[in-house]
Amino acid sequence: MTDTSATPAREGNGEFLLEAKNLKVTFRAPGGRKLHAVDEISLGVRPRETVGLVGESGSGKSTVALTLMRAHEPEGGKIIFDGQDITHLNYQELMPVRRRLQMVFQDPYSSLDPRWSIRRVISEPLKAHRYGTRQQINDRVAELLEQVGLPPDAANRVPSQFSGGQRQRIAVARSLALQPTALIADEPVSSLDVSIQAQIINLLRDLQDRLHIALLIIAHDLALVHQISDRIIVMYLGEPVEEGPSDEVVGRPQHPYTVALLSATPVPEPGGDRKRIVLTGDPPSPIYRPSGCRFHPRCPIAQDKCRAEKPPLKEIAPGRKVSCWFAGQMDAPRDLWALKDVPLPPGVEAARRPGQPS
Amino acid sequence: MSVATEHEHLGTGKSDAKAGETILDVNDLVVEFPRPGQPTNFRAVNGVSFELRQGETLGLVGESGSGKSMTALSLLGIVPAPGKIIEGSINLRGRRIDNLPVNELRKVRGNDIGMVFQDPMTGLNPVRSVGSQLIESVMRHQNVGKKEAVEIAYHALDDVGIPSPRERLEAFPHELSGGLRQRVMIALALINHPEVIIADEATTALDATIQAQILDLFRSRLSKATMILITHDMGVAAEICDRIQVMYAGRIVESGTIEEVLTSPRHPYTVGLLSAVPKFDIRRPKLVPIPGQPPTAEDIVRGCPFAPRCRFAEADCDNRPPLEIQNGRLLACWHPRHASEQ
Repeated sequence: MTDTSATPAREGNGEFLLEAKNLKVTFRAPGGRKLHAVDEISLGVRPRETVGLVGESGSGKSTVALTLMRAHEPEGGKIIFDGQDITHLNYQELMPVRRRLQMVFQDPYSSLDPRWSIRRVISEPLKAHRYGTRQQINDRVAELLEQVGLPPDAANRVPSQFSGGQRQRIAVARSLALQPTALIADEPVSSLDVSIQAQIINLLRDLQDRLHIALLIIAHDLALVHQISDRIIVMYLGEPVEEGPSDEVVGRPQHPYTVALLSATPVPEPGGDRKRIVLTGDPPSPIYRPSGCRFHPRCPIAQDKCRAEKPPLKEIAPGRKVSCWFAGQMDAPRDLWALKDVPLPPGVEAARRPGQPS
Repeated sequence: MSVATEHEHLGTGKSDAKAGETILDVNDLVVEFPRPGQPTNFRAVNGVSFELRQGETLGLVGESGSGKSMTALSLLGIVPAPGKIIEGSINLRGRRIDNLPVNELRKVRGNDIGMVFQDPMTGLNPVRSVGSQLIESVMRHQNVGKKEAVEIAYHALDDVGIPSPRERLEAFPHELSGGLRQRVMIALALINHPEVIIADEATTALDATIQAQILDLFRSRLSKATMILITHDMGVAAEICDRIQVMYAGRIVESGTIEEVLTSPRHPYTVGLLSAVPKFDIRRPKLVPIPGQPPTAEDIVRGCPFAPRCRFAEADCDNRPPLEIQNGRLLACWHPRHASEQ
């Protein structure tokens, strides 16, 4: 832990590189109503750690990303980066932060200017931050292209000459140009074909191993997030509902929504009569949110209490949080593939389905 | 390696238990698009042959540009211009439908083949109520009056699990959620009891929990339907298909029962696709990507289209491998994989 007495201005407990505290983001909806995009989410990403933020559309996960980047103004809460409260920094003050905190966007077709050469795309952040001479910039571009697995002559071409996967490599190269210590990737592979997704996921994993960056991955695909994250936060309707180490969240889900999400993921395995938890209805509107637990209208195990009272996000074990009055009481389907043939960490096996023969 | 006869090309033999008579028979279908400034055309569909039998759900699985959607559009006679079917035939219950005049084709769409598109926002008319679109389709294809058509429309919505269907007849597409809109699309595709249903990425645009609802509807409502499901997601195909055909660069590269293809894929591309998908495995093995990219419309493909990305490619892959039965499996590969060497 950091010695706070030596640097009295430091915010946060020093454990996290990027941290959000009780972040709250609202938008104005037609008719003067409030749209609660993100409500009271706290998260932290340690140096070199990968945290996955999972949720469906409208869960607020992308709003969290953009707010951390200071593209949206939060209504409440704090954003702390490397011990500094950046919630209210102005443009000038943010410049040094932006050098170390970068972002990769979902769609490499719209995030790259179609008329710019790749050299210009990748060198733009370098120029904006006065990296060095033209020669130094060109050398850095060449180095970055190599890091993301593209040939040096790619620098002279334009985005339309590249496929989606290659464009995403270019976007990653641009985000790494200033040697950030933290990277936020919002659905970095969801617009890519399956065979290409794995290339980009592996690239992010390799780069993280080599460059020791902290990574916040935002995605709707729980299997993909599990694949690369150390910890997972599951969001529903703007709020975190479950948080914990990846294997714990996937191997021993506590919130009924997480169980349903796991069970809803299609599996490339035969066995057509797989049992499945199918939630009824749609996620409610973030303008007219349900009372009590936001998930209760769709929850298979909701009780009266859930309709009346909102469950707090409670820490049930170190680093393991759930917001549910009946956490752990909804069994994952017995044949849920996530649990089926996979050796679970010690302790999980015994605890995962009380009262059921294994 | 056995060389298959023309007839063996078309079936896999394994799913006979469920499959009935042949409903749809596609033979050596070729769809071409002109390549601006180049002498040769781009073959979006390059010699595709398959049979669809009564009561089976056939999955056409492939990535973007594999020709799976274009194959489906050919069946409905709606290949977008300047694309054209230039070779092959499509027979529906023995009747050739690929060369029909437009007014005859219109009867085929809806009456004989119903289509569920990926994006219900573009598949439905945004300025007309759900009810009026259903009623129009019923009155055009069935010999009934308005009153009866309204009842049929009501039951169609009820049938696909839309709550308060009477009120929903008045609703406009934008007033419905994505999941409900997709249910309306399905109701519209089913309303005239078509013989064949084609679902093109019908759940791709939906969230996981809503996708699960629609897959559930497919399983309960359409388990006996004769259906072609087009998807890029092997997981979705595994949920509802009896048989899968994997497409790559306009060709079928592997075909078999869902069990065969998923548990012992033989074509290196199928093997690659399955190992590229993250699985909930706590050991978290590194994903195995397929290197490179699929050929684009600009590329001239000679020989096996997958060879440039294939770990097992050899000199003979410069020749195009035919789709033929090898050890009981339908494959287009000179060097198929076996369970032990994947």
